[in-house]
Amino acid sequence: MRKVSKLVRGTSKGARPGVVFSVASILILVLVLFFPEGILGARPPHGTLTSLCENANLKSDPASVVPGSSGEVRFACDFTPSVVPAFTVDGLPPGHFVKAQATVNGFVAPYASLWIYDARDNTARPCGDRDGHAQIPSGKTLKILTGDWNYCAEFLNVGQAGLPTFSVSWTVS
Amino acid sequence: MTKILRFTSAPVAMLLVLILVITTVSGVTALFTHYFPAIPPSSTMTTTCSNQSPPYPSLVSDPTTVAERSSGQVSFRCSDTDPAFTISGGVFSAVPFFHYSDGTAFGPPYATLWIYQSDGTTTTGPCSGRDAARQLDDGGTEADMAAHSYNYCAEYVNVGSAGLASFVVYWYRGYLTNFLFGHTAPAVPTPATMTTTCANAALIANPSAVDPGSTGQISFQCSDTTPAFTISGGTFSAIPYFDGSGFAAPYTTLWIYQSDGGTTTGGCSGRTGARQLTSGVTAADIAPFNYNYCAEYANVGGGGLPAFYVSWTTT
Repeated sequence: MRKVSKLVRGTSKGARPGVVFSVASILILVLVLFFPEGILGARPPHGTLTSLCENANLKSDPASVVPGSSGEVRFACDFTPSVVPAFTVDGLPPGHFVKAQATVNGFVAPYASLWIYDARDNTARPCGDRDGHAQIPSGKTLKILTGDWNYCAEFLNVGQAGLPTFSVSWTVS
Repeated sequence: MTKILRFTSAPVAMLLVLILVITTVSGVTALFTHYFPAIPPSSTMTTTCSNQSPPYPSLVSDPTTVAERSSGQVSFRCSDTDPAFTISGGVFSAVPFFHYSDGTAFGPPYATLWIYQSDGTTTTGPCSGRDAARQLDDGGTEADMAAHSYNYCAEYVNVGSAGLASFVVYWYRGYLTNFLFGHTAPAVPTPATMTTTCANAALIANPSAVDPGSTGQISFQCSDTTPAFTISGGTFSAIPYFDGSGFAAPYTTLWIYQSDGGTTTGGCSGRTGARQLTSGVTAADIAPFNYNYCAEYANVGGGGLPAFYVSWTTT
């Protein structure tokens, strides 16, 4: 017990700063190597947000829009011969979610709003009425439950040029 | 315990803060980017004058009349400012069905039916020479019609006195599926004319004599077999003059009626196509038929009925 006290006393006086920094360096190295995604801001344990068409073009449904019309268009990795969801949240118990941030670029009029919805909802209805619908707030955190997800975008009075291209980049924190 | 706290004082605390910052920053992980494709406009084929919806308009023709025994072409559009139909947003395929409005097959005096670019540089002359001209095939697919505004162009040969009959065109997306719209092309008559075989000559009266003291009506025509005059090629308006010509009592009223109509005897007003004439007043839109005169008289005197004449001028 006395030896311990001595050791503590000696260290506290900064008698061996090299040891302190060595320990700290090793600690940081361990953290970086074994917790590359961080500690405090890490995604929930085992939760993943993945896509079969990441960094690629999605498919739209419909493939064209009538000039002058308003409505909604869905986006997924594919719609034929069957729906391949735009992305999937997995690795979590049902009812759990990941916190993700969407950075939206190029989403301009005639587009009006951008949503995600449960990819199993194959009905034709407004984005805001679809199962699991959640509007994407660009740059803010969105809690996304476990499951398959597609995008839905609403547009108003589309012009002769149709609808423009845009992108969504996802990060988790 | 105090010693332990001292141990963890300044240097270690800074270290912990450093770790906190590093781990916090390294906690944002980029996953992937989704690229949303541009969505092109759908191609459409539209009209402003479908005969399937109120007010059930018809196309209008250019020209509005065709000369008897002539050959040529006539164009049809929704109005002076609107084409028959417009394709926009890309090429469009559709199937036209067309026939005369009475249901008979499209044929003579019409020969062929075309569409052409209504705002092209060549919009007159033979149908085939007009911009984006395409001959329509009844029931055939008109594939990949370019995005333009279109009018119809119909070629005709040796048109008869009746002119060109009305016809209809119905457009479908597929063969009798996915109806798009319908058009009615109006009849194109020969120019309206008013002719007689006995101009500046005496008509004959029927009956040729009347009983003194009688009241009734008397007809006048060029001869037993020819009417007093004929309107053809469409309705015609003209002004009759007979005041001061001798048309006086015992005559009371002067009429015209269809000489080959269903009722050609009895009171003037009851005859087919009867129309009372007023001297100096336009008889408007007289239908294209053969006509005789009918005069009502009352209480004929001993001198019988006087002679009179009717002169006609155009409006």
